Amino acid sequence: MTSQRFRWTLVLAALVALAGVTHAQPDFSGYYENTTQIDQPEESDETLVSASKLRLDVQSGGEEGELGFRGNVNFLYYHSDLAINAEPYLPPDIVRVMRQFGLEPVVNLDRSRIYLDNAFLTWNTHGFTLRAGKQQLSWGPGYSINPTDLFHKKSLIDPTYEKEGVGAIRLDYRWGIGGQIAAIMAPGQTLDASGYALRLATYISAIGYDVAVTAHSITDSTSLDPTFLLPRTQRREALGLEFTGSLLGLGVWMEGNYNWMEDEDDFARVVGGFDYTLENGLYVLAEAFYNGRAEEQTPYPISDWMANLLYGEPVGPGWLMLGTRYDVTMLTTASLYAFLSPDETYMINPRLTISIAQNADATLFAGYTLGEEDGAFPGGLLSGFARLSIYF
Amino acid sequence: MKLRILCTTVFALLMITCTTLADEAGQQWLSKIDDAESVPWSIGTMTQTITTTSGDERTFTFESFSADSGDVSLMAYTDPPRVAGDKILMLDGGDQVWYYMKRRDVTRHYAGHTLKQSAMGSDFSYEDLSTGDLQEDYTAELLGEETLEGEPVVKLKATPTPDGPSYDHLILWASTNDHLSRKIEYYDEEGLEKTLILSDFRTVDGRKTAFSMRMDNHRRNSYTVMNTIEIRYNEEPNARLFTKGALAEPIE
Repeated sequence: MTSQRFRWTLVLAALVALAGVTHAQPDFSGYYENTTQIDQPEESDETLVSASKLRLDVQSGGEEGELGFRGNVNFLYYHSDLAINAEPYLPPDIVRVMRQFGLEPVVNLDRSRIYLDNAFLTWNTHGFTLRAGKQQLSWGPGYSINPTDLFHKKSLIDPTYEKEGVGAIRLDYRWGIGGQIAAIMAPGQTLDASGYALRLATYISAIGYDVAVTAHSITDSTSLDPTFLLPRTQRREALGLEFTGSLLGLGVWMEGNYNWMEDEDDFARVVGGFDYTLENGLYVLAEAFYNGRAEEQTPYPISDWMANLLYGEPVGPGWLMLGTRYDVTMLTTASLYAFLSPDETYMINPRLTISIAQNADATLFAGYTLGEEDGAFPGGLLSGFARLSIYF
Repeated sequence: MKLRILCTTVFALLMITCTTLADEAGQQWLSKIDDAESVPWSIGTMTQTITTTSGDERTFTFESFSADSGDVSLMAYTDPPRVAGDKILMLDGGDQVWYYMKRRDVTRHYAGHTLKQSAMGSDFSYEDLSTGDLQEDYTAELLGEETLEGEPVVKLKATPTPDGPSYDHLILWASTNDHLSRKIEYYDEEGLEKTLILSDFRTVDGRKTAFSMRMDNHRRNSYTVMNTIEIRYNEEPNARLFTKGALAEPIE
């Protein structure tokens, strides 16, 4: 414990020292948040998970022609039991098969975790931006899922929550309002095992659309061998397209890619949607997702469920998401999202965000599933979350 | 019978002529207001204080930049820490909006009717914040002249063009002396929704400027005040600020 504390003291000192390299006064900010989650399955006792998180951000320099640093370290501590029963999230048949394979549907958490979420050096000059280190590589306008983002995963219940950075070297060249060429290398154990990505984007001002083409060549480890249920590592090449703009007064977006896989069947993933704000301020959106990677019919195979549990991969042929958001008061926003799977299972995701002080928010949200127990959203689970965040 | 037809025709022609003259006068006033309010560029610091029905307040501070006579603008939030580093980029006179969230390092593109959404929970929507060309966005009808808070003003009814903002119409009062707006009422199909009052006029770099803008939301009984801390018109912002690429970079 002492050595771990010493190690992280060194990490923090390194962060501050890196910020100092830029010869600019480092800015410190961050937040503390406490999240409590309660899972209430239909036929068993509830499970409680409670965690505290302290995020400390450091930023220094980064202006034109100057070396800059940005980063944050997260301190995460679980107050509750560390073995989380994943059984309520899975169809009973899948749990039975897992046990036949000697696998318990349990996710084990570490009591505490201290990690560099993002930490990168940045240098801007004449339209070029170089970033080296752990950073966000999020691409794509999709709300519920981003098929063209092969480096991060979103949570369906909390899709706008921040995601852990990815170690990479990234070079951007930007021109005009929205012109961009981005080249990314995410180092692996060898050059062949590393991930590479390219993005060519532009803003077409005549029609007001952002358009981008993306290409990836990465080592993918987000699936399992369906026979032996062992993690499968394979090369994955992908070509994607995305756009955002307006059509007939609606905000519209589309994002998709085609994936060539080394070991499994090639597949496509596409998400598209529109949003609109009514006269009374009610914001509505709809988004459809097609998932060509997973099995289309129930019962979905155990390998798909394991990939969902371990890597956040979507199960089933996709979903239709309908959402609405409304400012109940100036300081309170309510939203409701519903995910409808073609297998006739559903998830409802209500959310309430309250600004309780100038620098503090409270967020209450939940996930409730309905329908058959072998569908993509196995019916009968109610998960509730309460999160209090204080920013500094 | 012929006389009646003749009278009706003359009356109709007179009405059309009067309306056209009123419309022409309205358009001329829009042009004068545009000339008075449009600035080639600006750099400033502002606060935005939201006051709820229950009296709770939230204050945001941001740096503002505009260029191309308001066709492009950027708001970069500096306080409170919850939103510090977030930026709102508006192009094409506010028709296209990008919101950059620093903590997540992502940018979201807002277009179409999404621009009606409240900006930062305030009583200003994204389209209210845009400083586009009035003549491009509205046609105007002169309703008359009156006095407002001791200032002689013209009263105009401004109706959005087909590609203009989403309001049904605005009633706008502008000074006959300096041609600057003093008050704007925003109407939707249900009636009066919001009222904007501009006050505390000061002269900066030879331009008269409203240092206070208060937007009252009559549906929510809330209001938001935007106060200018400082502003200058004598320095052109770096054009790179008004690009998506610069959203993730610190402002020099």
